[in-house]
Amino acid sequence: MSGFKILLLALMVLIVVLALLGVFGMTRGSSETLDTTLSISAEYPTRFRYKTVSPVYVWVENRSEQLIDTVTVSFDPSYLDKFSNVTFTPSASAVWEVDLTRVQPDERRRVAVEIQAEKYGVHEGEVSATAGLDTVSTIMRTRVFP
Amino acid sequence: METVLRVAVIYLFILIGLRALGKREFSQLSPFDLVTLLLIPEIVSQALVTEDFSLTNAFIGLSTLFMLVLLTSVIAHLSKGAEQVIEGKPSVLISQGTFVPENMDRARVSPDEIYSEMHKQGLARIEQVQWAILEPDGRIAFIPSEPEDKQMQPRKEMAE
Repeated sequence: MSGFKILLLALMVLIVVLALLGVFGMTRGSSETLDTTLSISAEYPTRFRYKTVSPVYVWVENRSEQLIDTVTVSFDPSYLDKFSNVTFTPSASAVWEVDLTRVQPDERRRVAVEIQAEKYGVHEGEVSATAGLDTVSTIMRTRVFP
Repeated sequence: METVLRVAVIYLFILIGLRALGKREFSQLSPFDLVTLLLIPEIVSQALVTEDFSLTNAFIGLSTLFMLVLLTSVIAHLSKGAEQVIEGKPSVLISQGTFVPENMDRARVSPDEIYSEMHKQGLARIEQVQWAILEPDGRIAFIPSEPEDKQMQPRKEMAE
């Protein structure tokens, strides 16, 4: 058997073994940032494949003792632009932004975004929550396999 | 991981199913050829039109299939018993110019089919055939009658 064939066979064995170990499977991760007024945490896909769908969840918590009229959750366009069929729940109030109104003290609200993997590679971006002059943000990082 | 397991399960199922059906339905192709030919487009079409459109999934599926085919081939090569389980054994359909009805029934081969294959080989009468052997790939091999001092014997392990 020629060296080239051995190399090809070894590559195929490697692909199978890595697949069995879950290297190419979908994984999820989370990140969080706390502040005196607000906290933001995100759960997102860290690895998934082209044209598969996965949700991103962002929780915002009012850590103050006052009612917050509006918390604006903003997603980094450079992150969401890498995906297709982006759907927000609740609906977006502006491009890549969702407003959460009348957030009570200690209340936690969720924004869900469904995304479909489109562009290959590693995509990184920030999601932030702004209430007045206070802003907290956290980073999301996702790898898309072809 | 799921793709690897699914491909492996489907591969085994098809292989067992083809073996259970027997040789005649798939003449000209060995079970290995058929499993490979049936599964490759199926795996690729999944990546193209169904839930997982990714090349990653297609490569994982194809690599798994090729590894299974290679592994099966190696096992069949190294173990006679495994070879008989995987490929099947040849069956004698005609012995010394006479039909072997038990083997013909088991293989679901009719006399007309045998005559048809004989004619393709230029053999007109059954007396001209010393052995007719149904091979694992579904083809029938004919060994014409020889003069008495040159008659052959089939391998002992073939079903008689």
